[in-house]
Amino acid sequence: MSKRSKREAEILLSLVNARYGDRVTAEELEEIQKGIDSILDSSEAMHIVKLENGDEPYQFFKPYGEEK
Amino acid sequence: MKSPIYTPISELSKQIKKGRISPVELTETFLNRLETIGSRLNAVVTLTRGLALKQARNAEKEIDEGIHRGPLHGIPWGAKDLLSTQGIPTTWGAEPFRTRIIDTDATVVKRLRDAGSILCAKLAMIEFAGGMGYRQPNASLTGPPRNPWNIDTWAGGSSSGSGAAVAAGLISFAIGSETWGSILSPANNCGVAGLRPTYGRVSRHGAMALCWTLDKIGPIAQTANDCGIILQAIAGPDSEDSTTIQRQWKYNPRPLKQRPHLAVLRGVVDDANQDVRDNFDNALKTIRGFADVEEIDLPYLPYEAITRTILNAEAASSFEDLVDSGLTQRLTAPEDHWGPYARSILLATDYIRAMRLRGKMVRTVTEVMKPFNALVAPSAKKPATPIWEEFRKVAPGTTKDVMGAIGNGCGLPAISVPDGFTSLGLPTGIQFMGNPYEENTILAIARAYQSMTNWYTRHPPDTEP
Repeated sequence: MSKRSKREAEILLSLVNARYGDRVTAEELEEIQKGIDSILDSSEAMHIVKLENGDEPYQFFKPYGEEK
Repeated sequence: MKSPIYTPISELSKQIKKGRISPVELTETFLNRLETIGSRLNAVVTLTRGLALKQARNAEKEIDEGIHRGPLHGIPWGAKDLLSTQGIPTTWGAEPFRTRIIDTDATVVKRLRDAGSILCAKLAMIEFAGGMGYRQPNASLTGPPRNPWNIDTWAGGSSSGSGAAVAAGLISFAIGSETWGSILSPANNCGVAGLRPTYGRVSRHGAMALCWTLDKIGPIAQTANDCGIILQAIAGPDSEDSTTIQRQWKYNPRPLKQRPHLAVLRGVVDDANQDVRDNFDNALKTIRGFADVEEIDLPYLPYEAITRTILNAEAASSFEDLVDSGLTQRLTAPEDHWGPYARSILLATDYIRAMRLRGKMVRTVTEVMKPFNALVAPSAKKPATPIWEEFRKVAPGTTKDVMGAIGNGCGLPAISVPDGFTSLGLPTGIQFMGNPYEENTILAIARAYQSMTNWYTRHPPDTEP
């Protein structure tokens, strides 16, 4: 994990702590940290691949109904 | 007469049509097995005895009167407990929903009822189909789902009861669902056939949503042929599910006209258990008797990262209110209490990047697979693990599973059938993963493989009739 991601991981963990801190133990928070690290590792892996401006999400929105 | 318990549907159906097997007696047999053996395996959530006997009597009456609805008429089945059923609890495998009733029938339930099948049980599953990030088998309101081949090992998941019930001969067939691995895993661990259809082939209406763009519903049965028969009954367009493929699908039980051309991804067994590798190597020798097999490479893309990010983001959203409500604190697996928190911080831009990369992944994989009828690989890298052991000690998504990532991320159909046993007597499986919409092709290949092997004719010793 890059230095930038490590810093981001700390910030994101504080967000989890703010949302759910009253429900988790310190040990569980450590495990959640690993989960965040894994999410950021995936993010880094995805950013290695170059995307062009026209590379749209592979999920199509279409207005409701059919044209008459 | 041969016991009907492990008889494939194609044969059972003929016997029922000829009046040699009574649907009522068959149903009573399976209900009793579900009640006794099923409870030992933690495979059953709700036994639907009253409904089953009513449906069985109707089927028997119709068949006596010469009305035959098709190959599933009078055949008992079980539903993974994420399919809604009118008047019967639908628990999603989760303790907080133990008595919850969603008072509607899922499309799959309606279609099987219309086909004359008899619903005998709602079958055990991992809570929220594994959507909370479980790490060990004891993650279900019915207890750890036990494997009929060795009850001290896991049945696989998340369609755990579906796999165990079919393997133990508690039911003729079951319906499971897969977001990433949930049909193939129990099929592998329990030594049965499990078919993950193309995304959109089967309506998800009335099924629990884990990830809208990844969820698929499919059959688990004794043989590949049975899976084809069942898929025909449940497939097809549904106005209640906009993602369903608009063309009606018909099962073709005939062999392929040409010798199949199959591919194995280079390195796909490198980190697999030795028994899994040995059985896969032997299976390939058999397959070379009727197909050409070539080793190929996939161009680099972060396949696991793409599919895992989609799964994390959609699951975070589909269960957001539930997680925020604190209900997950009452789940069976302790790790499921806090498991969903990490992904709540996933950035929208990362999800959209994953969906943009999904386009690249779909095009890349489709191009690579175009010359082949199917990719072949072990269904899982290890056999069933001990029932009280964590099967992953790390956060989901950190293990390597290219087949799972591309298969589910690209919505490709795959079938797992047994390809042998380990030195400890546990089954292992082989998967055939096809091009989109090519269920008939992979079914034909799996049937050809099963016609040359007898793994699927073996049954757990303690459950033999």
